[in-house]
Amino acid sequence: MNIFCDECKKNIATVFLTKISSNEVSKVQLCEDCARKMEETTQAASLLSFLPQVLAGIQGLEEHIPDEILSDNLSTCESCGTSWSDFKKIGFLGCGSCYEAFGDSLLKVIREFQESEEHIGKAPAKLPEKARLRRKLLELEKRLERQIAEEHYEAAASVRDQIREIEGKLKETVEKSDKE
Amino acid sequence: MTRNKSTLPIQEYLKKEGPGYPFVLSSRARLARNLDGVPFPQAANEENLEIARGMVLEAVAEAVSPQREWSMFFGEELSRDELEMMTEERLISRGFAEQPRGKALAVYFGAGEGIVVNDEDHARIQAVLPGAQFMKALENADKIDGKLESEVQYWYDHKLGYLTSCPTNVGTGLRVSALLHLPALSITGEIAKTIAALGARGIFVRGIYGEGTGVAGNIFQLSNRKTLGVKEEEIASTIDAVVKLVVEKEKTSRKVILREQFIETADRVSRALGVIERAKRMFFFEALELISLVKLGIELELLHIKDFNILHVGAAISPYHIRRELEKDTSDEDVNTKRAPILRRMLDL
Repeated sequence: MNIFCDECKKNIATVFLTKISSNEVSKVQLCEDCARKMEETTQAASLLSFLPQVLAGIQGLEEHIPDEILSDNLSTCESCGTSWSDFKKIGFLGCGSCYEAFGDSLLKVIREFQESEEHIGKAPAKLPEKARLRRKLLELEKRLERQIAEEHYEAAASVRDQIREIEGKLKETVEKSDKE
Repeated sequence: MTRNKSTLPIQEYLKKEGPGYPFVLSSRARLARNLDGVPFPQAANEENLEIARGMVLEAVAEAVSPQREWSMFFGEELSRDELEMMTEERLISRGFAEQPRGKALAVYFGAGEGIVVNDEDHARIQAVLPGAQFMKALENADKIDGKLESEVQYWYDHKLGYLTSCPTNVGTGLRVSALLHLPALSITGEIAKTIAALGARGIFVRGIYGEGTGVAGNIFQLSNRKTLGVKEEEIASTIDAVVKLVVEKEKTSRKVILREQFIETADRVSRALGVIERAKRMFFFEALELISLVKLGIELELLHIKDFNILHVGAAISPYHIRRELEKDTSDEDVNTKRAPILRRMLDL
């Protein structure tokens, strides 16, 4: 029986592991030093665990449709500024509007991975008015902070007025919903 | 908001036995949600991160936890030790621990429920339970989702469902997962076939410890791949059905090794116990593999020592959980040396 580390073949193996790679399983035995080294170098790579499959999907598609690469790379989401090539690089979309901005190219990726393009599960209930107001309030408060920091006092005063107005509406809505 | 590091409790579900024990260790349901009109965390600037965090945490305080049962932590206010311990208990991701700024965790320690804010998505609602309770875990996550939804508007598309930063989560945003202890399937090598068969059925399998190097401790996580075009309940019931199949395979493999490799198996589990009893220092992955074998030995009635919960012991002997019991500025070697007596204490040896 081999008692030495598979990696350095020098130290006695004390770490016995099961290795899974693309659905194949093998056993590895390592010494502490090699196990630690391997874990450190591979940890960073494993952060985006689903990404390779998604990107493999994109790469595969592009080999067949070279014309699309050009237009794909030019398409950018107007809401958040994320481009299709950004998405291909990092695997994350910038905002909900990207789904529309990247249209068919993204749908192909989704179809590839999800084998579907239609949601049939839970849908959100209609949003209560108070939630909409609270969100607006939070945005305005942040804007106010920024304008004061940048010493734009006139603009800040107008934001403050808007905040008061929304606070008033919010109070009414909450009182109304409490009565109900 | 920063807590003294010693006050972070080990989560309750890690200590409990549920249906399907000792094969099924825990069930988890996770829903990915984003706030309408706010850029996803990966693309958001500091101000947008603040807005999203404020909205989610305010909604938690208003609707999810009006009695203040939940604890809330800002990422940047957590110490390195706390972040690592939370990662070791799978409360947060490695990515969260590495870049905690702008992120947050709201957690109900006693109930196994939590919301991770501004990691990949604005809100990741998770509910964990001991044993095989996938439908119940989904119900718990769904309840929290419903409460959050009464306070905030989610980014939702009528065709694609809940929009997520990675399209692999779009639709339901739901990932249901199971943690299974499968030592006999690993010993016989049958696990390879099982993983291939599960892959064909749209189930992801990975080890929970040592993703890069290899799976340690024979603990595997099964989860659904598809999140779109399938109903939430169906995702949970599929995982439930698949888990039952895998557990049957593990039981068969145990019978096979008892019948065909009795001496080898008895020798293997006894040697593992011998090392735990005598070792002066232990590397983390080494210890995980040893407790997996000893646990198998107990369940096959080859070893007659006190039974233990492998998830609980696994968490308690993780590097940062051990570090907590030592002085500041301890080296890896100190941790490895301390691990041996801690493990003996936990196993009553």
